Amino acid sequence: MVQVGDDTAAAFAGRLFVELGCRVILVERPGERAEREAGSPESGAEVGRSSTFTYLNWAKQGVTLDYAREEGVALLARLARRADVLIRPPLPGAMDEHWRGLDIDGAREAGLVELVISPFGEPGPDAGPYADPDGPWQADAGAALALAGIPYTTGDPAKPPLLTQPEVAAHATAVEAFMSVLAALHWRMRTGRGSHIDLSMHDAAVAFDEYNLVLPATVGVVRQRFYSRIIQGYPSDIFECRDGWLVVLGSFNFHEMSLLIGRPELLDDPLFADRNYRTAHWPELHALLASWFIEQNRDEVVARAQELRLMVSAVVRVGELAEHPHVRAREGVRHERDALGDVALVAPPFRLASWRPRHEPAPAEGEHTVQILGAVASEERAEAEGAEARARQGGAAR
Amino acid sequence: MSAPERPLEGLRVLDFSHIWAGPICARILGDLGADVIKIEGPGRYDGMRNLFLMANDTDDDYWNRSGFFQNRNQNKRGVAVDLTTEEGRELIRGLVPHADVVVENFTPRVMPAFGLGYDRLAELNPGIVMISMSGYGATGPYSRFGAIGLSLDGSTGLSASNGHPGDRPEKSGSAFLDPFGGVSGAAAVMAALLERERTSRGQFIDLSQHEGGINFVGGYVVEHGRSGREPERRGSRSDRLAPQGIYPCDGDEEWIYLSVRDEAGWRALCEELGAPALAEEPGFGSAAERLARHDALDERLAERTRLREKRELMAALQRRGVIAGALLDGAEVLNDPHLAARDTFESIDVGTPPRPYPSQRALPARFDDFAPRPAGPAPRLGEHNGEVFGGLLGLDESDLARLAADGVIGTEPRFAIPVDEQRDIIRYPLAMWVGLGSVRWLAPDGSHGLAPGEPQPAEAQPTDAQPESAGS
Repeated sequence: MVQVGDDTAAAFAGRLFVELGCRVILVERPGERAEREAGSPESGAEVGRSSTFTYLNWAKQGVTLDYAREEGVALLARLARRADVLIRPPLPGAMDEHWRGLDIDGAREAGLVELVISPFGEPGPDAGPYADPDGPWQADAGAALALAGIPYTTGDPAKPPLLTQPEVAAHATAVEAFMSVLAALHWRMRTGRGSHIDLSMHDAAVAFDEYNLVLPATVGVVRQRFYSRIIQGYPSDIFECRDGWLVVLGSFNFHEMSLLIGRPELLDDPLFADRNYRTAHWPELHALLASWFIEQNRDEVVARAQELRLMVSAVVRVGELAEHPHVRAREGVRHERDALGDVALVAPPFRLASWRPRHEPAPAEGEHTVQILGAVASEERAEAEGAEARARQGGAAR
Repeated sequence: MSAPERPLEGLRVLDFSHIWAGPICARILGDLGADVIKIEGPGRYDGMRNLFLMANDTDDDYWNRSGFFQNRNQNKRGVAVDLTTEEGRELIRGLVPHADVVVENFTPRVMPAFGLGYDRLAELNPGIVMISMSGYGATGPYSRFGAIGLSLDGSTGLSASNGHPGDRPEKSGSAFLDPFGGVSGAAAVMAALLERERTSRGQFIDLSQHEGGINFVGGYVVEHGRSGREPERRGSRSDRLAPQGIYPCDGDEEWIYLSVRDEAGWRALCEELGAPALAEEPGFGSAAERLARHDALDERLAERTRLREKRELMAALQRRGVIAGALLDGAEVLNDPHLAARDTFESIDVGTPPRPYPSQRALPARFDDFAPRPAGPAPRLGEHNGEVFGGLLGLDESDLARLAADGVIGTEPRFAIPVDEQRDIIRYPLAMWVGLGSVRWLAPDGSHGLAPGEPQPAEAQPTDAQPESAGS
């Protein structure tokens, strides 16, 4: 698989293919090091191995070529013709048009799956106004999320809305890209043909936001920002406890909720007797619960709540994840090494029976350029010689 | 054999899942051509059938009219079988040799308790691919814990990383870990099916939605390992770009997100806001300086952005090459002209009487060589009992009638409480919600192109204390 560019959407899709055992080649433009150099110096940014870059590009090979120039695009096409999958952004400037002149259609006919990730979709007759070919709009994960409706309903109503970090729309796009390519590989298995796939980050973000869209479509109301809550019932909130925070979803199991806090008599309190009363009187219930939670230890509450089959989870800090007993038991974070030392790597989102950890570090810039482009040239020569030999044999036979 | 129209044609999926992640996984497989059979029970149907019914109407067969259920269960056939009966379980075991994939998202104890664990299924069909999409995975001390996307924001590190600076952690306004689990589940199934082509063997896929969520913070985990640094809650800001954030626009609850990538973008933003001098002001000359004075910068920018209409400002900034996105509410997303041009929503008729519903695509990608199945109504409860059990197991009308009479299969729910009480429970008190501020009415003139709600007296309150049961 060839992954062009190291933005989060393409890079995370590439990472998921790494986890399937694929050989993934990361193509970067020379000197374009924004993702490599993002973050604090001690995180690896100073030497072009930022934490996020390391995580997203683990076990890939690295090629540097300038796909903003015709020679670079031609090299990219040669690389793509020898790949099963190409994931790329729209190419800079006039290079998209140059790309189309390089018989990529032929490569697709022969089986290449090409997926283009863009902010709002590729230009075309039905592309939509944000993909105007005369000046397509730009989006990062934040803009795509904003236009999908999620930040509008995130956060405290007394404060400005909140973006959910990090880069939710880019991760959504990545997993949609991964799934779509696998669908196209099934198609290839059936038909022998590759595919061209147009995936917009905006569309992917919208596909992840069903909750805010169903309300106006069904019951004629528009969801507003209302804390960290579902709107159908209370309690569903984040509570502070003695040593941290808890996500509590107790609105549909209030009997168990009352047992958790040792107040079974609440079931007979007219203020809280049913779900709608509890919602209507949430400030009173919130005060009562908050005063109980603040006296409790986080993990003890989680254990007790889950015994009662209540959906309560700890608000776990990132620094706790690697040593969390459940994560450790499942090897959800494993420890690898690269030039900077220990690397704590998160496990893939699913475990196939054939999954094996990959130990190769994220590539240095252009680390495999000579090796890979050299191999492409060798293979092309061998193919040409083979074709020539076959032609000669054909001539002799005639 | 005729040429396929879609990649997964000829494959069959048994979908035991409920709520969101599992159903959307199975819907994707169905949209791609697989024959998906959704398996529910008359006494235990997918709880999403109770949520957000068309027009908040709980009369008649309301359980066939949920918006959530529609989105997640199109392109499936539906059977309703009582798995608490041996005969019901035997019916399902009879389907297994006819299937390629099993999708479920219970806690790990449930399927084995029904005699439908992977080992048993593999005895019946060694080629079966089973995906278990539980909250915390099939192993480990939390494996018995229940979870949904809304609760996993906390345990994955996401909530801890989100919120205003110095403020409490927050969950996202949408439970996006559910669709993330669903989409990655569909991908995992397709990967396992490709592997089956090579090995002729099926397999068990353990998908932990918790681990999926941790992937969002994978970079933070590496960073913490290297530097010991915990990500700070930084609101909507970037840790390297400035300005970036959400700014007020003209009107109540109107906002815009913008992010400046470079100095040219910074100057363009200032010019568009009518403040070119701001770009030259000492202290704002580089991203690092702007990051250090972000609060002061935001005040200056907000003075200008609040004079502008959000969509107009978005378009103006985009024309200047500045990344900007208006914060749209749910109704505005449904009516967004760009999404309309891309046929993101397909209108389908749902329920009796039929009501139009803007069905959402489960596959946002556009493929040049094939198209996913078009949208259509999700199955009514037990709608295809006869078709599935007759067609695949050879049961005749009398067999089916006896099974229905014995309550093994059915098309009507069995509630633990009188159905009229159930109808009252799931009818939403919309006016009360409006009064609380968690929702507002859709524009009453229908200008959103959507059915407006039925405004009710703002003081309307629940009148009866009712038992807490969803009956599913």
